[in-house]
Amino acid sequence: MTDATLGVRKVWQPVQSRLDMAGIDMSTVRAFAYPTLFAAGLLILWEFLVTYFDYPAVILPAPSLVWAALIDRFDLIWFHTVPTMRDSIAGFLIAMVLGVGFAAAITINKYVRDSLYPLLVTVQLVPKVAWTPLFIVWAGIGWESRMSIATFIAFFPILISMVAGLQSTDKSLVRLCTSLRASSWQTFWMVRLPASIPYFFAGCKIAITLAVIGVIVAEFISSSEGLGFLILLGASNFETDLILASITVLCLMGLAFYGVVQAADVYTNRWMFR
Amino acid sequence: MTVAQDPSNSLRPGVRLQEFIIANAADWGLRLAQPLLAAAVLIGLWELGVHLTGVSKVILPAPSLVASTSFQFFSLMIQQAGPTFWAAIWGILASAVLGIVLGTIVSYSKTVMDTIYPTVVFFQLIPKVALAPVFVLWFGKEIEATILFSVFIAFFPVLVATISGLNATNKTYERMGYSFMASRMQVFLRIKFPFALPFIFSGLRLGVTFGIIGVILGEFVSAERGLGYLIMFAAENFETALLLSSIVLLLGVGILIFAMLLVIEAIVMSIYRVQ
Repeated sequence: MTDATLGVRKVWQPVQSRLDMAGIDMSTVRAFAYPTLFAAGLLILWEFLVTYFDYPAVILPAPSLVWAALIDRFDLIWFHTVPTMRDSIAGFLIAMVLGVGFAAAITINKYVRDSLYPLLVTVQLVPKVAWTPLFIVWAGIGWESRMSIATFIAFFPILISMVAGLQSTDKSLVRLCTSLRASSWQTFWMVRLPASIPYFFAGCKIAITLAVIGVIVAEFISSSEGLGFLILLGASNFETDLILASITVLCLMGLAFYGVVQAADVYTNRWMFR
Repeated sequence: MTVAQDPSNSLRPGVRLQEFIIANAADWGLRLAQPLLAAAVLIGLWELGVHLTGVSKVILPAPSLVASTSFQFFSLMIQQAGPTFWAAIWGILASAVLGIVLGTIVSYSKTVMDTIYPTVVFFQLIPKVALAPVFVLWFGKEIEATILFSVFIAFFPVLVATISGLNATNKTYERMGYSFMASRMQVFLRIKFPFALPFIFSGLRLGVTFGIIGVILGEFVSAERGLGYLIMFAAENFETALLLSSIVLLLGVGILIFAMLLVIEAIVMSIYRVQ
């Protein structure tokens, strides 16, 4: 064993005993430390390569420059973050209501299911972002069009997972309800709906990311506010640091949305199965 | 509907294909007829509504107008559909190869897996479309840039599906393989890979949709060619009928690519079931 590894051991041993005392086992440490180190390594490598080869900042600015742009122009970025956030959340919430409503109609009525559901699944195959220009023709270049495109894109995953969830109910439970003379509405409200909660959240997790995508694409196509607009503006002015700073904020926003849905999922689970 | 309860509803060994088709034709016909009928009714209502309310054709052109526009601009639309189709095919193929190969490599090392997987999941969650203008800045407006962007969008679901598929292998079979002196390669090809196939194909289905989205977005942003360009062009000139025809053609392209994937899936699955 070389001196170097012995040295590492000497530093590591007290750390490990602390971790043991705190009841944190090594796999947790691995799960957090490795990806963090990997990401940090990538950023350092990026910074180093760009600085060393004196790469033009227009093509690829160093992470430090992106950070500087984020701090310097935070007011501008935040000004454009608010509309994007507002439109995505509004679109997502409307899609949630519509998706659950349509899924309920499809589950309760056999004719609606057999005729409407295959059509919806087929429409779902077209890349829905392709409809964005149509929504702008319909609803103008204001927030209405961006919110409706977010609704349109986020609607399908919620619908499809809710239909799967409502139909996945344990058949014996449904039969029990029928034999206890529950109405189909009671069966739906008391058995099918609670059983579909995990599917609902799975759909919501996809939908919230898609809602953000919808708003961004709509802002690319025509808008005068929002992060998508700022990114496009940065691209036309060759301000790549501003673009990457905006994308960073956008990523954080997307992750925050996802985190909220995830937290709602966890809390609902605890509340239902306590 | 006695057919629905017919035991010959699934194709089992011993049931002849001819008999199977005859026994189920009525059921299939009904299943196909209902949505088609609903579509016809909806389109009829749309046509009727447009004529009754006299809504401007910029806002909502009647289906008949969309159809006649499709015929009028048929050659133009087909010409623009070509680049979109090929870009999507190449993008999806590259994502499939890259996703499956990288997923296999990642799943073989716990350290690499712990390091890379959270980063991959992170990339799944962030809105990657925001990078479309950056791709134009980096790689230009050629069709290669569009393909690259499509790979960037479509690659992650395939990778994640491959990793989770290879991890889902029944460990007992894997151990049995090793105790029969199978090499690592044999265990991979005969045990792990077949187990992962359903996962990989569900990832590929997502990949196909994402790949097409990537191509369309690339065409929106670079605005040089393809159905995405045609859609943007139509919207800017308020040619709503042309816009809707292009979307319908895009639906056709999407269904065609999806059907190709389903055929490949059926062939691959049947190969592995025989072995």
